Amino acid sequence: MMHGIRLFKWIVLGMGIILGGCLPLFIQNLYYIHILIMVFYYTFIALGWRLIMSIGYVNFGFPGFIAVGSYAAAMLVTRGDLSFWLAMPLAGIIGGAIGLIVGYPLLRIKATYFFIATFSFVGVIEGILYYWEGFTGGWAGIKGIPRPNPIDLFGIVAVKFSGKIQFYYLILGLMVLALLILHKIEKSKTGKVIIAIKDSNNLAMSVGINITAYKLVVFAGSCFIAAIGGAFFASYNTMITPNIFDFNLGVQILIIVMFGGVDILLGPLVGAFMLITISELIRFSPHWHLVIWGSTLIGVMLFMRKGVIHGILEIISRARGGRPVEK
Amino acid sequence: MASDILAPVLINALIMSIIYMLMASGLTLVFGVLHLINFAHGELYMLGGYGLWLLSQVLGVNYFLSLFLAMTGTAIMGVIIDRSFFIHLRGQILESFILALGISLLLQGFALLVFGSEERGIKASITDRVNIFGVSVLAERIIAVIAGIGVMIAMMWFVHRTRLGQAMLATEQNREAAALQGINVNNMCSLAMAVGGALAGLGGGLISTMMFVTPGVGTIPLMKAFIIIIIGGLGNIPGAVLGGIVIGFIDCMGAIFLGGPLAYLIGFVFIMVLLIFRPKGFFGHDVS
Repeated sequence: MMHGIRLFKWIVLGMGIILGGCLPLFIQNLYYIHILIMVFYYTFIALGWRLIMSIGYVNFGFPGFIAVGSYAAAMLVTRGDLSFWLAMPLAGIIGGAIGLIVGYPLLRIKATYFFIATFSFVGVIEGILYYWEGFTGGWAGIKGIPRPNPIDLFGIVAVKFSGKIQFYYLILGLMVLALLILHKIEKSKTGKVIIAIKDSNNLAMSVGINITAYKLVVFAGSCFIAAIGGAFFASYNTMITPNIFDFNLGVQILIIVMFGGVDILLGPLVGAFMLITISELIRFSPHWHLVIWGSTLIGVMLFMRKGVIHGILEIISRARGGRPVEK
Repeated sequence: MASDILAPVLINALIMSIIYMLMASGLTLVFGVLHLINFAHGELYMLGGYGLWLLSQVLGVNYFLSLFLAMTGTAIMGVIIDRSFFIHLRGQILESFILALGISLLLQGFALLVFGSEERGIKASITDRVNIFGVSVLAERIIAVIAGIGVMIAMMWFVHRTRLGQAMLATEQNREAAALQGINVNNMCSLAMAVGGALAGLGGGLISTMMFVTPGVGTIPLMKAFIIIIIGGLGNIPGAVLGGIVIGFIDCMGAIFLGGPLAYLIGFVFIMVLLIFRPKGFFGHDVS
């Protein structure tokens, strides 16, 4: 039975990857490719948000870390003349390192204080980006960020980043990689420790778990994902300004995570798909954005607290007369 | 620096302090009683500004009467929000916090749909100037200071001296024990939301003669109020008062001497340093 479920999971995963890989063959319209890129990009960064949320913390400073990665990569590429393939991991490491520095004092306090303190972090990063004009470009940001260098695999395969398709595969690859690694972590002992810390700090501490170290590492990991996502965005968008990474971006990621459900690894994918689709549908009536996002968040919190996937599973199981879904 | 430049700056700093104080003490009271970080608090502030604009500019009601009515309106709004939303997620800090964020977005969205995104200014009805220590200052600013301090004192008196206020404090200290004494916890939560809403609405109304009202106007004071209640301690009203003065003055002085964005940085660095060296806050409350 166990093997059956595992096999089933791998089949679903394989089919998902093949579907994702083949999609551009059927979709010729570049507009839809762009939307899919945005879905995967948002899924990727939402996975980072979910990582720290899985330990019981909501990091509203998250857009700040995406900005750090974005600006780091952009500067390394434009001023340092580094290859994008080197700049992206470096940006991730810079983001993770800043996460360690900021997380060290912040993670020792209660989660309630943590939410509040991280709010101001977005403002701080935005402030630095605006204020330090000579270094960051101020309001205008950084323009003309080059596309990634062509990949040349021993002269056999040569990939040139000439259009959207290559970016599509890049972000799809990043997302699948992140999903696989996070899945591995969740199933490992570390994953169990994370759940233990979320459920009860004191209990986890009493059995000898160094909760501060775990929290710090998870926080830095989440910031690493944010920064990698930011680096991708910088290269894809070719220009970045401080106001891209404002508080609203954090709200959008939160909606994605809550909509899909924090407990489910694929939740962010479902949430991102919903958010991006609706955003595109109401693109021409910007006044309605806030009302729709607000009511989505309220609806999810009041009626489907564990996310829509969980909610639907529960409705199905109730209709069958079975017992409620455990996980 | 000459005193005729310094005096208006000090008056502005004082007004900002009072606005922050009103915001932060309501926020901290709501946190104490409901165990909720009320993200929609900034929208009550915004609605206070719009309420005043609607009454005094569109309908032509007397300034003070409209200020009072706007305050009442936001207090009722607070109760409505509590009764229709927060009541379902009592005591769940993270969940109710995200819910509050949703309410904040919804209210901002409605304000955008109803009032539009234009800036709404309110003309001061009192344009006299008064002389204070040889410096002429707009009278409406003095009135704002007096009104703010007066309402703060009235609120303190209500919370600490009346039966109802004491019942609310009892709920804050221990919910179960308060319920056992026959205190209706849900009513106390709504009461706290009403008081918080009134204070936020007053803050939004007082500032609207000096700054424009827009749907997103509540965000920055809310952020400042968050910083203040960390400094003063969640649920600690005197702490919020002191924190309001500190941040209000840092803000005004910082904005003049260092520029706006840097003033924001100072607030954050202040928190970080505070949390590193004194994780229990200024007043020894437990945050770790």
